[in-house]
Amino acid sequence: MIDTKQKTTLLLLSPAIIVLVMVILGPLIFSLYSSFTPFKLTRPDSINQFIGFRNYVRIFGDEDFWAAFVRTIVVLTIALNLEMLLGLGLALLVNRATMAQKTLRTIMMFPMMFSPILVGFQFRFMFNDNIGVVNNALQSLGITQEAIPWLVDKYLAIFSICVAEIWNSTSVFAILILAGLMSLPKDPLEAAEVDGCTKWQTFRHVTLPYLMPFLYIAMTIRSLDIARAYDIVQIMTGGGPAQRTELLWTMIARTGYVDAKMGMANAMSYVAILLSIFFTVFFFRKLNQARHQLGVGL
Amino acid sequence: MAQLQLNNIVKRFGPVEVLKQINLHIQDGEFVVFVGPSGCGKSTLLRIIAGLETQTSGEVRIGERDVSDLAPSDRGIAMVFQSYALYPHLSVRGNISLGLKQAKTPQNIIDERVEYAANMLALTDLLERKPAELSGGQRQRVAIGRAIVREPDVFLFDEPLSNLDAALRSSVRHDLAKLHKNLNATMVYVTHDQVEAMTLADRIVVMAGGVIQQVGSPRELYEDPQNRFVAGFIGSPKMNFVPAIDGPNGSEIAAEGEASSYELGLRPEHLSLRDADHPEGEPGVVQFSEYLGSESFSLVALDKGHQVLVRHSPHEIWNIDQPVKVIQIRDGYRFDRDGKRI
Repeated sequence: MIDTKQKTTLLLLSPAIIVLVMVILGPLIFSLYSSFTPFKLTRPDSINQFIGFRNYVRIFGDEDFWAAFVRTIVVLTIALNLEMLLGLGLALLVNRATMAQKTLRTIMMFPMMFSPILVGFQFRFMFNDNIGVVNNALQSLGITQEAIPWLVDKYLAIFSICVAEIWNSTSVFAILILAGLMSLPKDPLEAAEVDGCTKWQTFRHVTLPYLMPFLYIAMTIRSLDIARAYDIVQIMTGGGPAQRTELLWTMIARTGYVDAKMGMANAMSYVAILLSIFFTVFFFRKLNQARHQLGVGL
Repeated sequence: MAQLQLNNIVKRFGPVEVLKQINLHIQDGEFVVFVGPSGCGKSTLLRIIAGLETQTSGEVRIGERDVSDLAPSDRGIAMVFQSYALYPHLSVRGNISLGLKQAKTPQNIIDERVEYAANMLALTDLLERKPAELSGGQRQRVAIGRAIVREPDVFLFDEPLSNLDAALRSSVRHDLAKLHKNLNATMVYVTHDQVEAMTLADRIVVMAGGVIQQVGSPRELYEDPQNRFVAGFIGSPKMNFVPAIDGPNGSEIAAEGEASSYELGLRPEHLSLRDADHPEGEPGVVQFSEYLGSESFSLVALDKGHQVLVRHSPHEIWNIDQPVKVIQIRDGYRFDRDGKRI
């Protein structure tokens, strides 16, 4: 059945296979299995109790979960779109700089050099309603007399989290779009010049189509980032107050580690991952369409 | 349609002078081809005519107008690029008509012109397609269509066939020749391909080192080159150059290391091969022979130390290492030490 050559092959591959099974496949199967149990960290033997889809059924009926799910999509949509627009603007400006372009590029990357945890702390401090610099500035300028509850109000808290995310990660878009701008072919731009196109038309008919693949790559990366957002939210609001800023992963972490309901948390994770997969597939489709339009790849 | 005049065009990139005092007068309706090795300045010159590059000094006149300082779209030119340079997300119709829309041309005139160009270029069935769905040849025809509808005074082509495969290249070349006949427009065409230059041009401008070497009809350039560069550049395979002196019976090839008074240029078809016992000719040994079906070429190492390529009938068979005599069946061209024709 298995000849010597195949045996040797298997033997030589076995270290890699064993490692992969131990660190990826094993935990994956275990977590999938545990999502079908009422596994609680405080009662280890509960892992043996198989309850079928009961966790999933409960999730689907759980309003809090769906609120977090929708909130995650809202944050993702707002942050992604604003980051794209700001990143595009930044990249176009930096690309036009005739002097010190490299320095500007480096400065543009600064926000990415800070850990999201620290960014979270910084923005929590800035948005603090009593001692925060934002309220202080607004009051000093006479725009408002009140202490605006940036991190307490339902909408303002989501807004503040979006601001922190956008500040932290707009440069991902900017740098990828800048790469696109630098690889822009010259001929179509000149053809537009000969055709007498305005700046806006040139952007619309030449620059933008050639940038689309880069935009979609940035979107894919950032959609995954935001769909798994945890650190900034955890630091700034901890998902609160009263779950008003709970996103998927802050909820999952709380369910798993605070409430110790690991089986339930794993079930939630699998639903959350579906969301990420959806966005990845969606943006990759768009990416392929955009590439096809340019006549590269399929 | 209009004539095109270049007066004292100079272009410097930093300290490098890429175009030195270019003067050229292109007649109304003429098809002029710029050829030259890469880096000779031919593309830069075309881009200066288009207005995509600014000349350091000098004047570009199209028709009666000085267009030196006008934007490309105001010069009455249209340009076809090597890479087609289509707008990727617009249909063929959109690509062809964008320039007209931009110029606020009335819709019925746009439709009429698009129709006309599509007919001429056999694009009618493709009008609603996107560039990505077209073949290379079709894309280039769209790019040409985009130029036609602008009804320019001067058409500019920047190596338009270089991205096409060999078979397509000759068919698009014929289309271009037909187009020139139909439109009777002034056309300026840049290429490094001699065949394109020879077949399309009314006049060829040979450039090297930022200087016009010679301007003339394909026949003039081939039969009456003014300098060694033009003689060597036009014609394929290349002309042979050997040092020579005047002898009792006309030019005589000088042996390597021997004193010579000028250089003799001999096209492969000016030479012929004879057996080694032939009474006349330069003795040599065949290095290799290339059979091309309708003709053959043999490279011969002369006993005097030079190598010459000889064109002969495909029915003559010369073997490698066979001793032969090379005879001249036509007078060669003489060039002095500076490469000037004498």
